Amino acid sequence: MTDDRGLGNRSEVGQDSLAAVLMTSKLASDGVKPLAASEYWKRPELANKPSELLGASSQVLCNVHGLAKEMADRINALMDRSIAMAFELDRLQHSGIHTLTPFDQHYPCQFRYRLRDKAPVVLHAAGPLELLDRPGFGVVGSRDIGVEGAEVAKSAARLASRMGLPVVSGGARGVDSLAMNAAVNEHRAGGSAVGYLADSLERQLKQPDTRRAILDEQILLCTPYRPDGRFTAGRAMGRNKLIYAGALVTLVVASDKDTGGTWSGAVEALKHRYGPVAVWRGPGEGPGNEHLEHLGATPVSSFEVLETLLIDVQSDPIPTETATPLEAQSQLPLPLEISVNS
Amino acid sequence: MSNQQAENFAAEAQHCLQALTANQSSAFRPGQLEAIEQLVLRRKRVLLVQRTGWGKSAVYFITTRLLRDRGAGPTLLVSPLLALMRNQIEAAQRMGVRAATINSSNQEEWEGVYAEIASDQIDVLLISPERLADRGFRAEHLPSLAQRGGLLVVDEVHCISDWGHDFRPDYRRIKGVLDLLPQGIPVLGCTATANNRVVDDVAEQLGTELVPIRGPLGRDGLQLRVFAPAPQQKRLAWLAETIPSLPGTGIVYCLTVRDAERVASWLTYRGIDAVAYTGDSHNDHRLETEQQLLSNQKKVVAATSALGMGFDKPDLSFVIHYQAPGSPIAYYQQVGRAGRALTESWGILLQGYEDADIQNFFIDTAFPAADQAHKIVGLLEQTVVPLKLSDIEREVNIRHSRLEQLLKILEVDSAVERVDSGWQRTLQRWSYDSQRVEAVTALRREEQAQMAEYVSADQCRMELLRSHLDDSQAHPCGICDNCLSDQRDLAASTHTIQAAVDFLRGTELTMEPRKQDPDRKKIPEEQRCEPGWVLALWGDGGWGAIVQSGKAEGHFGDDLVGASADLISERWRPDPAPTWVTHVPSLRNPGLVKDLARRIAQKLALPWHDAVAKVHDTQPQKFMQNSAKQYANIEGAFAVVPDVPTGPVLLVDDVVDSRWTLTVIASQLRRAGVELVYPFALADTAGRSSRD
Repeated sequence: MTDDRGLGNRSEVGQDSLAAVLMTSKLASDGVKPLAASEYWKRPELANKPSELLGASSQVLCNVHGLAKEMADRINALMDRSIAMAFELDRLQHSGIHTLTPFDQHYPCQFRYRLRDKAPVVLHAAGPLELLDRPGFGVVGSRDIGVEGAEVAKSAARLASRMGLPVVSGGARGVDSLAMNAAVNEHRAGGSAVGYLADSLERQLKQPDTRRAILDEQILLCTPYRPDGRFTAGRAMGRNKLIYAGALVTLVVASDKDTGGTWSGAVEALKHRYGPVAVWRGPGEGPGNEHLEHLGATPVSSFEVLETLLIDVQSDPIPTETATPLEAQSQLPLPLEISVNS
Repeated sequence: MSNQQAENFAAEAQHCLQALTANQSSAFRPGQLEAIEQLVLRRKRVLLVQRTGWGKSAVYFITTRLLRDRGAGPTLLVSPLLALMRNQIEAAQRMGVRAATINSSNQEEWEGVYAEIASDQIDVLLISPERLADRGFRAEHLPSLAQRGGLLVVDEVHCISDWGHDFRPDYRRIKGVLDLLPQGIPVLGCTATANNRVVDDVAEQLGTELVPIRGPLGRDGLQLRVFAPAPQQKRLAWLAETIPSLPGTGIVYCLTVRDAERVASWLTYRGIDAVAYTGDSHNDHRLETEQQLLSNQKKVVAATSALGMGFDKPDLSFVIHYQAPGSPIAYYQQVGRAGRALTESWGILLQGYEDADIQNFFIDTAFPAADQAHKIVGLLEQTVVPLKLSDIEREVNIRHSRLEQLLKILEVDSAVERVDSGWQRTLQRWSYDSQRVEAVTALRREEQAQMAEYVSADQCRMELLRSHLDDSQAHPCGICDNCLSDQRDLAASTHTIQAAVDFLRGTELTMEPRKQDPDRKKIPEEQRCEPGWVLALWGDGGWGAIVQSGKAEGHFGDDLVGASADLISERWRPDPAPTWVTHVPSLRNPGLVKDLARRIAQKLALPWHDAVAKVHDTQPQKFMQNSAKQYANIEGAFAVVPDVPTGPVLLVDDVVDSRWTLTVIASQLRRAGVELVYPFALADTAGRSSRD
């Protein structure tokens, strides 16, 4: 009657998914500290087939699965949250917040190639999950933006929408919301948007406009954090990764230099190769844009250039076929150099 | 597991049992030890289908003890019956199992329970399904309470199946949770009533690895009887004459709240120590009644199915049905409460001509009609922002209580959800599942046919009930009316039957004045009417049928006028007494009520005044399905003429439905200077007009 979902005890995949949630989710965690993504990914004995650890005692985790005593106790305690976790997941599910792990069909598989052991193990998402099935077009920029910059953000979003690409952004004030709204307003062209949130998903879902757009299946909001969590600078950075990793290419509309979330996010993405970065070089750009070009971002000086870029990245997609999360690790690096034929 | 290990485990469990029962020679019943082994050693999901009193609680208390000894967290026990478990909790303490309860009535204790959970001093936490369904509780409290849960027990687990006769929306949340609970966490579901279909459905929720453990459901010594349909007065008379001759205490089950209240007040009137127990009863009253019945302080409780789940009184000696339930499984569940620890007990089924109507009503309203569901979901989808119930009422023409019920069903479906400020559309995709609705409705029809087969059968009644429950050990009981070839007619003396007729005619009802308008705004004290009275229930066996035919003929006879005047001056006696009479005007049929009011005034020797005029025509209120619609329909429809008397007035109407008309006119009369307004009507449809 409602949704298709991977999580749950009906399938083997569902069991792996539940086990991954139990080890890493911050939901229902009063006591012991959940595993960080890096702690999870670097142990193939966890990440390959987590359901095998379900119901195992600390002793079995040590002797059979080869975990150190301290880690075994910790995982054992995390698994003890099963009943509380089931209630939490059901509560979220009931109000339309899905929980995804790398075992679910809608989990964006490029996250593993691009983010490696920083790939989030748990995602909470509200909206049509199909929007996660293929990468979109990232649009980012500062919160305070001039008239010209705003126009660039909106035009870029409209262009992507008409080309059938979801706009991927961060849901913050300024460039993020201008771009996402512009995409949603292109409803006749099938415009859609994916927002990776740094602040509370639950609070965002109280906004009537957001609910409208979700019910119309135009946006999907996603967070790797607790859906009731609060904004922090650390979260904003963590969320920036997902935008770059979740997009075929991400356009930085306007960035400060050496300061601000847009700057650090773009620099980090270039440095760690989270995803291809393009930077706007034209009226409305920010003081940091030129430097981002020097650091390796592809310059975009007109919408004709942008259109060509988007055609190119679509015709040369990143590999997305993979069997298990672990195999993905060996498939690095991703194509970084993007040629622009203008 | 080696034989030696198995033996050690059995001995350990046996030791717990002896501590629990405080009896050194206690032994396990077949199935108990098996269930404990599956849960503790194999961490499986177990479904226990065993009759009430078999010892299901011993299984979960001993399992808890053994799991705790192996380092597991506390047990989370979901049960609708918390108050009655006191004895069992005391027994559990004897083997060192400490239990705590979280429910809506002990909020002041929650703080302490948190602390005890945090310091690992609780072994079993009992939570009601209502608590689990509460949004705030689940978000704020449950995660810490259930933090380390080692075993999940779901009592009355058949309630999670919407194929079952007893599906409860609160249990739907548990169904979702079971689906999200990984393997390796033991789960125990318990029920006393489930046939194969329900077991299969529950098994699907609990997962394929489920271990079902089923025992025989027969009840030795329970003598089943069925009587042919009879009118109300005859059944009431029979109850009054038969119940005092039955040993011990019992329950009379009725299909509706009103019937239960009527049976209770009739039996009380006949000097029998009786009390009503319904879904409308206040929680405290219900608990008190359960206690009174348990301690034999009441001879009989007239109840709806609200008195049900898990109610455990081993020495209940009779269960009588005033009306026939719609399914043999529901019937077994209720009649099976009798005589569990007695060598002799009675299960007697009476039938009324109204039974099929009421059963059909329940079947037809179990699901929202597709158009109603689409209307509600569509409205909330369109507005996006949460709407208050009264806002929804204003938009959709669905009766208040029905609308609440529909929202609850749609909430189960995850189409809508309750939030602080009202109801909102969830962010889930939703479509009306007409296939499921049709399938479940067809099943209910099939059950109704099986019940009809039960009442007319000439084979053993217990065997028939057990076979409907797929009990493989069903066999003739030897003591039912069919086994004994002892069919009798429902007999009662003419004298008692006449008394019942008089009683039915005399069950005048009071009407509480409305204190709020449909927007929940308070109606000022100085604009309200006084409590009023009605002579009868619309279409009922007493005066009700006479009112109904009078209305159809366009004239109310002198007998009704006389009964009304008697009621007002003899039984009601409003104080201060009314000094004049007026009536509710109608443009469609101006003479009928006017004439009635004039004749009642004459009989009471009071002046009559045509004080209220109808200024524009309205739809009959019965076509308006809820308060907001009804109120809007009549607001501004009436005007009070100038210079009305200011003394207390009797305001007469023929049939009252929503009470909004009386409320509006009373408020206008009071604003025109009238001191007090006493409403009176011949009959109260109490929202039943849509079923006529």
